[in-house]
Amino acid sequence: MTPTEFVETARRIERELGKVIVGQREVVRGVLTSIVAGGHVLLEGVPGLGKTLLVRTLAQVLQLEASRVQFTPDLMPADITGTNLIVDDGGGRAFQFQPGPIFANLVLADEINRATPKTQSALLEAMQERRVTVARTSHVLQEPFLVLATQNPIEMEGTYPLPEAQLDRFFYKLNVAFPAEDELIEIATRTTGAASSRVEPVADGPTVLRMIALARELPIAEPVTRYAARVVLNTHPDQPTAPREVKQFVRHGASPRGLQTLVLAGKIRALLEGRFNVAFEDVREVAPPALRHRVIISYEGEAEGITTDHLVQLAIAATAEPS
Amino acid sequence: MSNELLRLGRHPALIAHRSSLARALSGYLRAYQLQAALLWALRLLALGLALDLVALALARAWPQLAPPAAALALPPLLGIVVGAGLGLARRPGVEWLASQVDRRLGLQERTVTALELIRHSRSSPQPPTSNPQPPSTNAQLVDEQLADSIHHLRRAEPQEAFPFRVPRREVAAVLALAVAIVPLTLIAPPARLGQVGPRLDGVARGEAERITALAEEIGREEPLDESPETNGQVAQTLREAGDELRQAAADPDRAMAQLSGAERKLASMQSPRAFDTAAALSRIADALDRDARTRPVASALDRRDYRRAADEMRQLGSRAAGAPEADRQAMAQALRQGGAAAGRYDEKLAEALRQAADRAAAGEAGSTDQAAREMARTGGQMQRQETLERALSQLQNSRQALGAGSRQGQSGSSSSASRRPSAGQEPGEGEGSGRDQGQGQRQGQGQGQGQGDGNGERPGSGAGTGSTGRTTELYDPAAVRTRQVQVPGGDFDRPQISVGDSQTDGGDGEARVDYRDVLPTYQERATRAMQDRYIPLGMKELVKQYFSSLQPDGTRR
Repeated sequence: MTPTEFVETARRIERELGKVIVGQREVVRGVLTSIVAGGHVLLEGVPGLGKTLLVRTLAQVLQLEASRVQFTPDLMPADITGTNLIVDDGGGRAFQFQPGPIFANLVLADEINRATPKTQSALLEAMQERRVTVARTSHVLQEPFLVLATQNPIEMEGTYPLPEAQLDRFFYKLNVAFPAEDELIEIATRTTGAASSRVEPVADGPTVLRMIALARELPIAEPVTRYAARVVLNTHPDQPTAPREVKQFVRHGASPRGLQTLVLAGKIRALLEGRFNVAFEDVREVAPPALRHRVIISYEGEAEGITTDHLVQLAIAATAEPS
Repeated sequence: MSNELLRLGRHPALIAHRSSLARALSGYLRAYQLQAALLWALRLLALGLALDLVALALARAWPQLAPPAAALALPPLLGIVVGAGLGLARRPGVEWLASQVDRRLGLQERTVTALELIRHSRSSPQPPTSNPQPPSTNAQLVDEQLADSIHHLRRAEPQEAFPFRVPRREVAAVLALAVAIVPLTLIAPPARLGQVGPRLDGVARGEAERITALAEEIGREEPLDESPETNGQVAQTLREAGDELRQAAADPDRAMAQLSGAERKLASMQSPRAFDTAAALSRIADALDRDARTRPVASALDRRDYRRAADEMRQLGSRAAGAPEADRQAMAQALRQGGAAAGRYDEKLAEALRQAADRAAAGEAGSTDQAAREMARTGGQMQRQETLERALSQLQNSRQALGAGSRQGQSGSSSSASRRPSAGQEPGEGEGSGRDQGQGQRQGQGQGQGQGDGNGERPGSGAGTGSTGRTTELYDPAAVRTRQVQVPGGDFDRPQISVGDSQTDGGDGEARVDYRDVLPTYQERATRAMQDRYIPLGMKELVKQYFSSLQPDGTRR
């Protein structure tokens, strides 16, 4: 794949998604970036904002297999990973692995915080290892593999918030904002009429894999990498260059995975912008979705109503560009 | 820089681009150098102006340090040349230049990345330990990135990144310094310093020469008395005053202060009995002048030749020893009168004269030897006092000359009033014509015209410079005890003068000559004395005022 083909394909994917998804450009761009980066996305927003529609449309456009799991407190790990069933194969009965919904290219884990930690852990292990082990047998997940997990931020009763270590495994955390007035009208117009929007497939699994490979090869200059590292360091309260609010309200700063995400997401953004190198601006732009779930606020910060987005912006502002 | 870049890059994908990148960056380097040349020229220009400012400020405190115009122009010009040279010679690192170009043109790190790609490609056979991971191994991406970077570099003009514009901060500094320099130059411009300075400098140097010449003259003189160190001290003080005056030639205030200091030093060396000594000798001269036999002593005393006077006194004893009785008695009478006249002022001298009179009357040999020794001693004291007065008079005259020169030099300056010494006594001098000569003067501020008609036949006129102030301690002749001088008529060269003590409230003596006949003579003598002898300026004024008050009505001012 050439860089030009990459850019063209990415733009066509965005265009096709835009036929179905009204607004939410940042979410669409974030999901596309995560796909090309080979990472997973945590979507946070109230129900009914088109998250499932986004996954289904994305599967159509990319010609990928999609599945959806509604997480509930009684959901078991095997309900996700699959299990060995006794089947009659004609000559006798035998155990046969029955794959769960995780064996798909695109997995929508709806309201992931409603499942028990045990079930969450099973999903997150599969996300990280990209394989599932059942009865001492490993089953490799097919590539590309992308999990889109959702969280409802307003119904916290009876939920099991994801631990920090598991949050770190998500490439991006995207906030799905409520549509604006014009977007609501457009949604009503599109979904209540006789005609339905049809999307065309513009890529497939192998194409996505080539895009992933190309994105990783985009050059990034050492000063830009250093800048990204400084941004990450400035989210840590024990750093002398960290802003005062970070020192006061942050319990834990971003992990090295945060730096990896900044660099990789920066490369993809540069390519999507038609550039062949990463700029400081790319790092700044991708920092909020890449770091907001990796910065852990202290109790004092939560009491003060401090958001991680605010702290990340402060860390960016406090970071000087290397000359 | 071109060579540095050309050494980079062995990767086939880079070879096509490296020259283009080097050429593009070279253009930016030249633009940067021009900008740096302008910047540093302005900075060093500001530094040169600051040096000028300091020099002009110092020249106001010490005028002898005033730099010539060419010296003032040198630092700014040198600053411009050196600054421009420094700017053009600057060779920043290629990475720094690339980052500056990216930042200033908004190229989003294209140039920095391209440079790094070339560098890593060059070192690919032996990866550097610091950053072993190359930015990219995808040849197509590398090629695209380099092409994109060069395209953006070429699309922009080097002057967009490094515009040849005047830096505001430096220009503001230069303007501020120039504004500060202008008034300093106008108020005390080098041209004016070159005109007024030498004039005052010449006066001061001339006075310094006179003071030094007097010092040498006094140093050569052979003192009469047993304390010859006085002449040496006076000469040394004068030499020092002359040297200091030369050094402070361009600074009138300092020169005046030096002269005043020397005057105070010499004044402190004066004997408190100087007046008594002078009075004693004067009375003795008057007494001895009445007899032809003792007149040579009186003549020598009048000439202030005290050595000669002592010799004549000694010879008088020799002559008395062989003289007839009548002559001896006459000599003895004159000597007794001299002793009586001096008794009030110098008892030892008076006693010596009385003894000399007795012994001379008896016809003893060497009868006047003791009186001659006492006269030599007193003459030595008088000579020392006169030496001091000569020195003081010279310093006073020099101070007056300097004051006049300073006023001339500052007459055109609005600020001269504040720089003029404020000591308030300046002598009023003037000449007028009365019958033959007149005297006009005025006490007050500023200058005045004196009018006098002397004895009345022709009106006299004179110009005088009045006292500018301190006259609070005026001399009041009526309040002090003075001696009345009765001037008999006849030949003025041989006046018969009787002396006695009285109050000046009209007196009880009888004037034998109309005072108007002798007034001009006494006035001339007083004027000459004021020129030759040291009299404080305020006292000179009083003397003139006194003679003015003696003028007949209609000639006073």
